[in-house]
Amino acid sequence: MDEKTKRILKIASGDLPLASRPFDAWAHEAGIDAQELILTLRAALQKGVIRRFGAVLAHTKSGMKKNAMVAWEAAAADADRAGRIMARFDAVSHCYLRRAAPDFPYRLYTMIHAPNDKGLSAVIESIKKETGLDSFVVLASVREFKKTSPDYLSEE
Amino acid sequence: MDATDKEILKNIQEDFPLAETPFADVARRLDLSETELISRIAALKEAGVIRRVGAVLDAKSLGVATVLCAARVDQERIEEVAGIVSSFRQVTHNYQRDGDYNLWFTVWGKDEQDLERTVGEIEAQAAVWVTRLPAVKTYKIRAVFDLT
Repeated sequence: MDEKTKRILKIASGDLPLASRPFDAWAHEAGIDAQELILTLRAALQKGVIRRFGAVLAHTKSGMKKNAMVAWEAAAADADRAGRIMARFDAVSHCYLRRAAPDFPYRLYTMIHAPNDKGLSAVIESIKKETGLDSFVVLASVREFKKTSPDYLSEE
Repeated sequence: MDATDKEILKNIQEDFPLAETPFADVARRLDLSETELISRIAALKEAGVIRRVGAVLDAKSLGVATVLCAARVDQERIEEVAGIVSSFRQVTHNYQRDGDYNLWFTVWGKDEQDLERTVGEIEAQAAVWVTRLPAVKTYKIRAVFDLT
């Protein structure tokens, strides 16, 4: 990736001004015109370097009050099948297969969002039923200490 | 938050127009004036519902390495340790959770080496063992919320 694209992506990782022509300010900062900035962003989105462009919500304030990380135990050979099924659930925002730790046998990690405890339990039940997995741990969040957008392109 | 706000959030989380006048474009879709749309978005930001509007970058495409970390921290040290962990700019998420492993955080690095150096530094500064749970496969990352 060239330096100009990096500079543009760094600026675009910020917060778009609420103005009629909001990309003008970003373009000015990047030292290019708005058209070039917009085309660069479109290309980056196409390539997947930008995963998504739009509003980033604080989910705890957007009606999804109950958020839990649920980790599932699965045999190495079976985990992939189960992971694909889990990812199909709308209530699952993130789903990863991870290396298991010696004292923590769970491999599949799902972030589940629901309006309340009842909704969360219902999602877990459905996942159990559809995957056939029954060993899991609900890692409910007790306290949020930090949640920020990463500054991958900072120079520090 | 009323029905119009929910409709706005649905429309600006995905399919945000990369065009010269994006708010006017979204306003047209929703049959609102541009001014009303902008002032509603400003209010949603003020209320803390919207954190920001912008690009969400893909770590893997940028060659960035990330890892989920877990630590067992004594109850009386949890705030101190969490504070040290959060002070690293490479830590993006840091939560206290139920369970033996009670502190969970994500760390990124410019590459694997840089990442391991940071996690090692966290272990040294916070005086805790950190269990590394790197992703082997990603099935889904979709932090978009259906509010309707």
